[in-house]
Amino acid sequence: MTNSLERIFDGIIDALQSSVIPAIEDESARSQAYGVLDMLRNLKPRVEWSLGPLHDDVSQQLTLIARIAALTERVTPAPPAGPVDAALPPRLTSAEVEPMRDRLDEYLCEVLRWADENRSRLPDGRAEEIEAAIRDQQRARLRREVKLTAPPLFGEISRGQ
Amino acid sequence: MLDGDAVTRSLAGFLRRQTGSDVAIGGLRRYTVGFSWITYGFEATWRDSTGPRHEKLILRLGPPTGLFAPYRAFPQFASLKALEGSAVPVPRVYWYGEELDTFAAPFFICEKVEGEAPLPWVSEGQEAFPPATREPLAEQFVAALAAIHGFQWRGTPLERLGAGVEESSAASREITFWEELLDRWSFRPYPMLEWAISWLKAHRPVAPRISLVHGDYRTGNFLEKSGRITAILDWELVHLGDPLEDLGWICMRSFRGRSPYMCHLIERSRLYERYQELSGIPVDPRAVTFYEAFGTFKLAVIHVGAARCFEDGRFKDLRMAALGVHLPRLIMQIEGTIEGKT
Repeated sequence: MTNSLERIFDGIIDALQSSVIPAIEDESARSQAYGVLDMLRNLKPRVEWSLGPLHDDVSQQLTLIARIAALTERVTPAPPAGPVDAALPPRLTSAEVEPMRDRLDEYLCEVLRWADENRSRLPDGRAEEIEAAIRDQQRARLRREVKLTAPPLFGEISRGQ
Repeated sequence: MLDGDAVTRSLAGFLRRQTGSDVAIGGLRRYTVGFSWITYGFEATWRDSTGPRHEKLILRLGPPTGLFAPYRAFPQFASLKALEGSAVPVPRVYWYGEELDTFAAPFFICEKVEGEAPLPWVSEGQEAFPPATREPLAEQFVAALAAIHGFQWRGTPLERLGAGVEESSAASREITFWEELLDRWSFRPYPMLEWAISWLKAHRPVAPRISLVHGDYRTGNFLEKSGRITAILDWELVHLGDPLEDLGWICMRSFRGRSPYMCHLIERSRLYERYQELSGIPVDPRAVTFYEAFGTFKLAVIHVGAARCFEDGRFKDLRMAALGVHLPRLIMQIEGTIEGKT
């Protein structure tokens, strides 16, 4: 998901309150919509992004970063300094794991820029090997995300019907 | 932004100043189409030197909190004005303004053209058009594109849409423009987009010529009535550049799903062949693939921008967040296009 969970909840609640409910003319449908609103307001403080996939992401990133370290050992120019996150501490919440995942992704971006800029100075095929390793890890994550994503409703969203 | 009553009052005041006559505004309706500019339809009645006038018109506003804000109305207005009377069907434009004192947003007013905008998003396995409709629409779709790309923009106000762009720099300028937007909008890093940017920079084609480029030429951005394309719309991303950029955009997976027809209209080989015949511009399939990948990257950046706009609370439209949800699919499509898997 691209947006934060808090903003998504706030946005849905606001859309229901300010746009949808005032436009519902049927009383029964309006009372159902108020039920949805009530549920959302009570769900908001009780839910967080699923920890499992985030945990998997960070574990795979750390494995990948160890592989990158091996691929870039004694290589000049030296790759970007490794990330401060070397292991996943236990008992973190999703809100704590998310920034860690992002820091590791930022490091992977730096490595990609470094590999691209130094392609001709690295041993033959090394830049491509690093890129392929990063793409494999990222692709696995994207595949999982796509599997979880419902087919888009762009037509309905555009037409409003 | 202004509410409906305020838009009506502002319209009446603006049109009174332009026409020198009292103007009655009726039937104001906000359309749901589009995620960036806001579109209103309305009817205006006034009197000029020819007698009483009654026109169905469109008002488009670039909201100060919108996705690409701050907006400028000039590129769209100038393009539509320049193409008036050409082989490209476009709505007739009347007025535009960049100042914020009329509608609190840049705006332009044009005629309301009759027709419906067919959308490219249909259920998987379905086609947007039956064959009898598809083939004549495809011919008009390609012919209008060839006419846009053949338009002699030199010596017209459209020169301002890409000062200094050359055949060798057209692709670089676009990559830089969208890379900067990604930097501005991202709220987390995307390694796969970083890799895509490197690939795009390493594979930039040289443009066959510098043309007027629509920038969002696809099914969904034209009006159709009784099998005839009545208007090419949504010129928000118009610029001067490589004409094959529009061809790559047409071929994107996002606008065809699994259909063999690009934009649900025409098979890829036939598109290349017919475009080349009508425009006289040689089609290098590798360049089109490059622009298909670039276009998918550009669409991904737009999705990031939409999510950012929503996250910051600048635009409360929940549809922006809904776009962001589909970012992973687009990022996978960039890689798939680069690898020839679409």
